[in-house]
Amino acid sequence: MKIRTCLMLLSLGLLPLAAAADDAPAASTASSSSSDDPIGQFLKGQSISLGYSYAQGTFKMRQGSTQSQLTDNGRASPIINYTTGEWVLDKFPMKYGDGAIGVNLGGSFGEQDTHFQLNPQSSAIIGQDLNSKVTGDYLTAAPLLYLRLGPVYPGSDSFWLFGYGPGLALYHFSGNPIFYTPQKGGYLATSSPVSSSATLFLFQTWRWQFHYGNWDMLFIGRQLSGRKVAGYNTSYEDYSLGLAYTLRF
Amino acid sequence: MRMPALGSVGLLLVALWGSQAQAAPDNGFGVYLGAVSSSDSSLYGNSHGGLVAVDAQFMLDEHWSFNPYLLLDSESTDNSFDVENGEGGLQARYWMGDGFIAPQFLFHDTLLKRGGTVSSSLYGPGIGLAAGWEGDSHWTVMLATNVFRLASGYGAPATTRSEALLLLGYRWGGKP
Repeated sequence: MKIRTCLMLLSLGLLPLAAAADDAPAASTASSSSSDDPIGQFLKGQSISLGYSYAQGTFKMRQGSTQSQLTDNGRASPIINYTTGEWVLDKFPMKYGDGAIGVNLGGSFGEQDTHFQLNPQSSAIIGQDLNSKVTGDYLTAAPLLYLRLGPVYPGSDSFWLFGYGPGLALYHFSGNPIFYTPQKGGYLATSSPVSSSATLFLFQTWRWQFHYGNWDMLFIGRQLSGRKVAGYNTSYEDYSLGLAYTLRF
Repeated sequence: MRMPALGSVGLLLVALWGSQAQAAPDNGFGVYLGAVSSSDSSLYGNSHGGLVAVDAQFMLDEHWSFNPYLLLDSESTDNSFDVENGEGGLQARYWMGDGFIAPQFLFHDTLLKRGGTVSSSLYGPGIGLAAGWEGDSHWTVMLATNVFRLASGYGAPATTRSEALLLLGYRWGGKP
């Protein structure tokens, strides 16, 4: 609390420096504020990104205090993403190029192979092999609303992007998770088969992306949820960090 | 940790007051090393540790820049927990000569480890405020404070974590 207060005071103390900056010679902005948006031109087309990521997926089912969670403990996973051209909702000038708030549509395919059980005695993120598993796959489609900034250097093909997208996923799975129910002094563990044919789930995705040249560093979060299967609230989450080569056409 | 942090704030304040407007800040990439001190309302008490961070700087005009960043830290606590924390955020820096202040918004994932085993993964959004200075030599110093809730997906009660960070860094910037 003291430190936050101190930083607030520091912020107030900085205000007089604004005047000093105003008196300073004009900064080197000769090449500034162009109405050109080369990144926007670049993003007008459709694209396919192909690459590899390190990803971790976690499957969850919950009904009251009874729950089951399985994970894949992390794995190498291919990146196969299709993205439409962008629609620019708003633009603002930057020193080099324009920033933009934009929307595109994206689709992706994912596979689930969760066979490590998270249980009350295990790590919260690294599961144990208890002969339980749930496997499946899904197709997703979602608009992505994002803030885009760039280029980093004038004339370079580089930008940073952060976006959120709500959409739908067609998801099916099957397996035999272990469910844990709190009891006096411990947990009751029961194994039972579950399955779901291809069903629409609510899909949400978050994307942190840095693009340079034809390469993209991507941090992507994906969540499928909003459905009950056999009375259990069911969801699947996948977080990945990867590198992809982007083809535009 | 509190007193060194306050002392550092004072030193930075003096440095900022004494600084003159030099070359304008420009786009570029930054790498930072630093220290973190945090406190939590009920889970682990206080912690301290080291951090590494990277950012990219996008100038909007001579006063404003957006700086998306990533940060990882490792902390030991008063309790039997260790903490590993990752953050991804966006700073909006207001530049006054070589100094800046910056409100920031972030997402975090905080891992609580006991005996080498991750016992909880707590994640969610947070907010903060940073202040710093970047010289013509491209060396930079920054102080930041953040606050966020440690909300678990397991239905455990949420708590609040506040943290103070001191970062020293270098920026590769300007026109290539």
